[in-house]
Amino acid sequence: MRVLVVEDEERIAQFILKGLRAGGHEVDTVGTGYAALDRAVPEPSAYDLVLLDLGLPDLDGLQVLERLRAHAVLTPVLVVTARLAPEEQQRAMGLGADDYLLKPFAFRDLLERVERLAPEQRRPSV
Amino acid sequence: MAIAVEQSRWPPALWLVIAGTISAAGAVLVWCLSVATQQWRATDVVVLLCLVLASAIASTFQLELPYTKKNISYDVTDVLWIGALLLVAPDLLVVAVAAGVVLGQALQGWDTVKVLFNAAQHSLGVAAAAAVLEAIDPPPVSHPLAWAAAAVAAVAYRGVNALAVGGAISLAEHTPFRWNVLAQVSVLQVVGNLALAVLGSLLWVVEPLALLLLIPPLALMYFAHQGWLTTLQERDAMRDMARTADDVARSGDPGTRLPEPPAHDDASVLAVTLNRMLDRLDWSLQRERRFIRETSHELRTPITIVRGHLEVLGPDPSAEELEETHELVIDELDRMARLVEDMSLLARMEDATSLRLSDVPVDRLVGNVAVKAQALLEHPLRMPSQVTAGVVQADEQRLTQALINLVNNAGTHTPPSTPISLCVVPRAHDWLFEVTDEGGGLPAGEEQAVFEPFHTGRSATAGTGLGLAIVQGIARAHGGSAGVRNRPGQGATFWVSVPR
Repeated sequence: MRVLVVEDEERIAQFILKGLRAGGHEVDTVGTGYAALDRAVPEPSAYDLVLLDLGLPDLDGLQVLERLRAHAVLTPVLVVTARLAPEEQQRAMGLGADDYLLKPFAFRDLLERVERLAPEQRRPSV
Repeated sequence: MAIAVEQSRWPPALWLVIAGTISAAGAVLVWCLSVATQQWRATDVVVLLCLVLASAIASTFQLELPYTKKNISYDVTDVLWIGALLLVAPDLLVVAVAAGVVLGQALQGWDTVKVLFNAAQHSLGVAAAAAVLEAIDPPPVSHPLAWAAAAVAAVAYRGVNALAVGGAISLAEHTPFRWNVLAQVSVLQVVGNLALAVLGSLLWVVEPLALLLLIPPLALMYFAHQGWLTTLQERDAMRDMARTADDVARSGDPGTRLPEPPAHDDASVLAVTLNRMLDRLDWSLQRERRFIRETSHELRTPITIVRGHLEVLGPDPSAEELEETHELVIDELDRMARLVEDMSLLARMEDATSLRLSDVPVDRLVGNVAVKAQALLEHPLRMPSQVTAGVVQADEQRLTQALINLVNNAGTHTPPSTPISLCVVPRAHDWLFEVTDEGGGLPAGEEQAVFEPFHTGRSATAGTGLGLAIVQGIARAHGGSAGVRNRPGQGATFWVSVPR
């Protein structure tokens, strides 16, 4: 599975990259919202999953999500964030996120969600 | 009691009909009685004029005070009228009442329709009282039976008055008749004014000049009454405040505010002061909640890093991998330790009572900061102004910490080759310590926000996000302040002022 990790904290991106690659996935990491849009928008099927942090230095993660969906990028999005507020979670889900994982997390939880979200992408679109 | 209800709330047409009817009845009465003027002598006309003048004067001494949701008005016009009833011809008095009310209220600028309505209803009331008195046919005023007759006449006057005013309000406002009528009756005023009326007429019979003796106790009563009503108002305001304060205590939500009475009395001052206290508490509580939320957010990142790196280490890591992870874990634990240390520092810095104040020579203070700053920075440090000799009363260690934080902040946001300036300016009332950088300044509008804990200003940095909040805490604990002069796109001058 091809996964795009959007995370500005380099050390977090590092271990996610390492762990997912060890699980047999292809992983790209970017540290800003605009870089994420540059990767995902031109070729909407380039990735099977996007792991999206909300606290990015340029665009907010929610804006990235909104723009992805506006450009018809229907790739499943797993929001990975330290923001606790339930309203943030509701906003993310309302904008088209597929799941929400709070930091800090157990890596096996991340892996489990990645696996769970992947098949959805393979369903034929209606 | 006069009609003093806010007329604009009434449907004008209905009000005009009611006022017109009552006024017409009063006019007919006064006209009928005036026909008798043919029999009035010159002395009667003098008495009439005196009564008109006295009525007009008495009606200007009205105590009108808002109490609960109504305006209650107290006056002494009926003292004059009931007293006169015992002494002069009733037709003379009724005409004098009508003319006196018109004169008094017109001089006070009352609405014409209200003036006519009040003149009519008072005349009708006094005529009713006169009729009752005539039916009783009392002995001379010196006899106690005459006083009792005056009491019955006063009740008749009050009855007409309350029915006219209360009835007009009920018809116009569609509110319960009974309550509006009862609202017009004050037993204390009826009894008090009756006693004064009888006393006045007695004094008039014995020696008219003795009426002057009534003025001091009347003035005393006037002010006592005013004070009593103010006390009632304050009591109500206090009860409202206590109820709201209890709500705040029960709900734990200081967002509620106490009602502030419109009058500028002690209760109002207290309410405003307590509301300012609630503002402050509210602000502190919001700040504390935000601080806890942001601290927990800040701690989540290093915990996520440590946990993640340990989890992906695998069952058989290489020595190199182990060493890298070991270093990373130690580094992240250090980050957490710095954060925890800065949090406790911030809590201590804002506490003025923990300061250890002494007279610190300014040149020594700035010199020490410069030495420490040069050890920390890769940037050239400039000190443009000659440091003035003098002392600042401060906690040397904490003020040094504040200035080092400012220098560090400047260093974090500027490339190593650009200079940073440190200077001290003696001013009339304080010492101004400034740290200037050429790091591009802050985005416009962020000048206040950068001093908030965990505010991410110019760029993501390795700091804990508490450095400038600590600076502000130290400045405030010293009775001074901290701020920034921003030059967006060029640089910024962060400053701390400490009173001299």
